[in-house]
Amino acid sequence: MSITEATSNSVEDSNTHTKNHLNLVKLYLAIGILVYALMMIAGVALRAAQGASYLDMNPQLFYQIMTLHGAGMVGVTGLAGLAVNWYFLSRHVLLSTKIFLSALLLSLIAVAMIIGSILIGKFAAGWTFLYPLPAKSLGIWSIASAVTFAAGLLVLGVAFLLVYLDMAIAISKKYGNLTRGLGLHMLFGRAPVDTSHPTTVVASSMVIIVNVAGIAVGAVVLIMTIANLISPAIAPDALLMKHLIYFFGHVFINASIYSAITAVYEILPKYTRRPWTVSKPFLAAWFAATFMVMAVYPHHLLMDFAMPPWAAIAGQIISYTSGIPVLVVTAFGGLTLVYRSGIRWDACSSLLVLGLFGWAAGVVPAVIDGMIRVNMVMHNTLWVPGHFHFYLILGMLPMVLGFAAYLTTNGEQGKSNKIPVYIYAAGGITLCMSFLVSGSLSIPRRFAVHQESWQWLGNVGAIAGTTVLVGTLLIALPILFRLPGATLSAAR
Amino acid sequence: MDILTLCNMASRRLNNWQLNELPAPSTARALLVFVIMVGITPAGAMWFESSMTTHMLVQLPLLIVLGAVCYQPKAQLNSFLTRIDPLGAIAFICYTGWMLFWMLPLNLDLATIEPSVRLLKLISVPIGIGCCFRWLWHQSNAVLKCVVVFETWASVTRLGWLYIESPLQLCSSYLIGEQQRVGTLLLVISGISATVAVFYSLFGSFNKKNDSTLAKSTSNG
Ligand code: HEM
Ligand SMILES: [Cu+2]
Repeated sequence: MSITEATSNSVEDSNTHTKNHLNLVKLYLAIGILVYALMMIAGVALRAAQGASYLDMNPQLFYQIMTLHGAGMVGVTGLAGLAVNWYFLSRHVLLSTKIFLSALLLSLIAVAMIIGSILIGKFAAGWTFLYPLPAKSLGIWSIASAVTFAAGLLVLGVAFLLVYLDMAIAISKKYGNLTRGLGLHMLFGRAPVDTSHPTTVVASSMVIIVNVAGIAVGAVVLIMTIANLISPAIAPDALLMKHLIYFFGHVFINASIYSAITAVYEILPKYTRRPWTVSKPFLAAWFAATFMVMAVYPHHLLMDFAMPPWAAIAGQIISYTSGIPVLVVTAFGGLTLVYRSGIRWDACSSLLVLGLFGWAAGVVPAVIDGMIRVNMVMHNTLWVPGHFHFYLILGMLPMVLGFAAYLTTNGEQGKSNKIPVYIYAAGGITLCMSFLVSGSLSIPRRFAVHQESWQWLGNVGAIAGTTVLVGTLLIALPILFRLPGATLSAAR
Repeated sequence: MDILTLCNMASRRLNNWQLNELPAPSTARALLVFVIMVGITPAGAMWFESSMTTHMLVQLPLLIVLGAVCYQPKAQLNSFLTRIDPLGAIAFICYTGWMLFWMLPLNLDLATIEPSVRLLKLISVPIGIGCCFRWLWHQSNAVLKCVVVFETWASVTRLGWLYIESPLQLCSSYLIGEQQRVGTLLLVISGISATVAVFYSLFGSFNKKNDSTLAKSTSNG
């Protein structure tokens, strides 16, 4: 074989290779957007049921739908974040499409198990499966359905684990190891800061570290849950289980936004024509966040009086500061990037900046609730859904949609309509306010039936939620139609 | 010298630790035969099986490690195995299957009472777990290797916790206090191995010398 033949062959190979990469990301996005829309309908139904004017739902069904909405949203958020992260990481290292595809198939199996356990098995203990509730159904759902739900989460964990391992190995092969991916040799070592070190690799290394730890804990705690379901005599310590469940759950949902942020790092500089490179503060922030994301979950345990006070206080302090480093670096970096850059505002750029705003503003209610004194009052009120819907609807989801818009316009700027983004944002802010105001009135969360004096807030939320849904569809439908024609290759 | 350099040096040592530092297969084979023979003789069986700790944490690991070390198939067998199980998938199923089988207290119990089950243990553990592990390690890509390590770690942790937590005596041959001691030891093993794994994956220097072992990794679709 001549040399030219060999090179043309390998070019062809790498073309089909990158095409496979892109097609898989498209598949993830299309499925993700559809699931988001479906789960939003479920969310609107929940809020409307609490409002009691537009919908009358029996409480048993409410808790089933709430479990579905929670598990579905958390799962799809994880998958969407993974897709964004995978797309950009595969520009820098060699990732396996086979593994990415198997992860999608495994996730679909997991989703079938989870949906089956909820809709057929009537499982309704919430996506957090807080022990020992799954075993105490008072006859509403069967042991088998609770086991199926937990096993479904286990399969989902394996799916993510496969991709993270592949990413970890690819980063290690190119950069030496995960701490080098994270840039610690530049932060602490003698090495000068290499500005060509990709921001995406730093973010990915952090996400891999925290999520593999989370999945490891989940793999143990889910089996203990199942063991307790099958044999109630095996009754592990409830507080220890709570620690592990929230470590798993909190890390998992938190990491999704740190995955999606890669879209901001990679796309926004194209709009402002200014580079976004690593620097010492950037590396320090991501290094700190690696530990903090794993250490903040105790804010879920501030009310557990069996916890030693020092643990609660440490949890409070870390919760306080956890989001801050990366947030400050990213928000500041984003602002300096955008300021007087002559950025073109279209759907993609406005969604990405909305995402930054939502993330930054979403921290405020979170930090307030992280104070023990406040938590005494606010814990288990709608304040909590208020803060995480803020993060997710105004922070995480816009980043994903912005990324999808970027793909479907093939990187061309000014081509997408930004009006739907305003509709979406207006609906999102109103919905979150309906939660936050409810919370400040001490209205409990996870209540199927609300007192009459609370109900107007439910109705406001239902209307706002519908607006969010409409906004999402207006943004997403053109994306879904144009997605097959997207050509921006993922791999190098 | 800063801490990163230290960590890197230590993990490079771990990386350079090659399989040829293991004892030769012939030595391992002789040792394995010896351990099996001791396991069969009444006095030896008594000693290994008298406590749950020696049974689970001495005899079984010995059998697994020796089985893995002495495994060196002849060319003919090797090509046959490569043909039927190129990816190590069958070995993976075999490995997990036997691991699960011997983690069930019932089977461990039977092995102390029933001579045929004892024999099954002495044969299936080195071959079904040890050799299969070696084959699987040899054939599979880096991701599958990591999954195997991860799952093995998770199973040890779960088992340890279950042994501690179970209010019932799971084996009829061993008392509950002993069961809890084994559980604690399993958790200690899990803790140590997790520390090593975290250290290795964070600080290991993979792209240097170790490229050859990773070369087969990530089947890029
Ligand atoms: C149209 C938009 C949405 C509406 C109307 C909505 C509505 C609701 C309602 C009413 C609840 C129950 C609150 C309670 O009483 O405790 C809830 C819970 C939840 N929502 Fe949403 N939601 C929406 C979008 C989202 C999105 C985009 C996500 C994630 C990406 C999400 C994740 C969750 C989670 C994790 C829960 C917690 C479930 C639980 O407590 O077990 N939601 N949502
Ligand atoms: Cu949390």
